[in-house]
Formats: sequence, structure tokens, C-alpha cells
Amino acid sequence: MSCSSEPGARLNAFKDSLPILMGYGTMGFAAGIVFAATAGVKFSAFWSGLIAATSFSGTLQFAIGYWFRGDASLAFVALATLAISVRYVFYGFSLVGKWRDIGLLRKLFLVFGLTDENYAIVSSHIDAPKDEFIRYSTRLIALNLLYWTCGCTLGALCGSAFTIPGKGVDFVMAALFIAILTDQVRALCRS
Amino acid sequence: MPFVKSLGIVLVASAVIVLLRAFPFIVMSRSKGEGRWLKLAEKWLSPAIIALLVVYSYSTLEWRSWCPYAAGLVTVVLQLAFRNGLVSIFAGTALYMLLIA
Repeated sequence: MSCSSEPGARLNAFKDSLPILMGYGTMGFAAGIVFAATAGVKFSAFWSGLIAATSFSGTLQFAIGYWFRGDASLAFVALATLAISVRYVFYGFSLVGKWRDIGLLRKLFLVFGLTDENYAIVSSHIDAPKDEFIRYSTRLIALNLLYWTCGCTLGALCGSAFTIPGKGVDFVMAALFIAILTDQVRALCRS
Repeated sequence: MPFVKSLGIVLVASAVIVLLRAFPFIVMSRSKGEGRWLKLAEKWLSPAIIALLVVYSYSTLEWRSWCPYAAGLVTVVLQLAFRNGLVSIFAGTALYMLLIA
């Protein structure tokens, strides 16, 4: 990934999604295993996939497993989700200008997809031309949602029959944030 | 637990997290995206949030050992040298996996 926008350089969503394939693939798989083990429901792969595709959040994937097991009340679910996800209220402020005047459905999809990782990647290309930026954001978020949902479904399907290969592979998310921050700090120093 | 109750939990959690992610777009829906605050947000908010995400992601690693810091430093140096995110991210991750193995 070129973490800053070179003038004239085309944004490549697939290339930029590769670290996420590694990160979301393994983390989703692990979250699916844990979900199946804690939730104690039939068809746990279905539920794990549905949660992944409707919440797109690692923390919630774990938390909902416990709420399933404990038969949590809906009011509790709403409050607890609010508490563990409140950081998201800040993310969109840097994207409001660039994601203006686009169709409601696409906008809803983009906003839904503002995970930590998607936000970090997308916001590092904020200087790209608007149309290309929107196309790029949509593709990147769709790919990453696919990786996450597949990971969570497969993890629950396989259950604890598998252990995750590669201890320490979760560093890929830290490395993603570090690489993006490095480019952003360099850009700030130059401006 | 009945199917409908499980579905309720999933949908309530989804609705709350989507509303949180949509919050800036809802409160700023009247603005034209040219305000001083939005310009400041475009410039500074993203690096600030990503810096916090770095710290947070370290809290889930073996942060008491020196390994993640060495791997992080290598990631920074590679990124500064080659400006190729794939190279620095995968090399940093591979190094971390080697160090803690």
C-alpha cells in the first residue's frame, strides 16, 4: 500500500486490502472459534457470519457470544454496545467532506464499514480526487467485509478442531497502523 | 434461547454500532464540508486516532517484552525507506512472529 496519495497514482483497493486479508482472516477465524465456544447455540456458524456481516466489529463478535450465552436483555445489549464502541463517534468527522453527495445506500454501506482498520486506510487517502476516493473506499470496505465475514463463519464452523497457525500474526494490525501513521507524520512534517 | 431473541440481540448491536459510526455524518449533514473545524479534522484527527490505535493494538501484544517495539521500529524504518506499505507491514509482522517464536 502506498499510504499517502502520490499525485497521479491510482489507488488499488485490492493491493491495500492484502494486509487486512491476513489480519481479518486470522482474527475473524479466532473470533469465530471463540464465539462458537461461548455462545452455546445451534448453527453457530450462521450466527457468527450474521454478526460479522451486520456489526463488522471484533469486540462485538466476542461480546455477543457472551450475551447469547447469558440471554442478555436488549436494553443491556444496546448500552453495552454503546459503551464498548463509543470511540467510533469521532472517526467520521474527517470524512464528512469527502463522502458528501453520494447515494444513500452507498453512504450507509461506507459508514457501516468504518472499522478501525478501514478508517485508518481510507483516511490516509483523503487527498485523492473525490470520485476515485469514493470508488476506492467502497471496494476496500467490501473486500475487507468479505474477509471478516468469511473468517468469522469458517472459525465457528471449524470450532476448536483447529488452532490458529502463526502465533504473533496479530501484529499485522499494529504494523498497518504504524505504516500509515509513519506516512501521515511525514506528510504533516512537510506541509 | 429462542431464534427471535438471538436475532434481536444481533440487530440491536448492529443498529447501535452503525448509529455511532454515522454520528458525524448526521450532526454535520447541514454543513458544506468547508468549515474550519472540518478542515482541521481532515488534517489532524486521523493521525491522532491512528496513534491511539497503535497504542491500543500494542496492548493486545506481548507489550512487556521488547519484541513488538523492535518489530515496530523496523516497520517504521522500512516504511520511511521504501514507502511500500505491503513490504513494511509484512516484514514487520514476520519479524515479530520470529522474535516471539
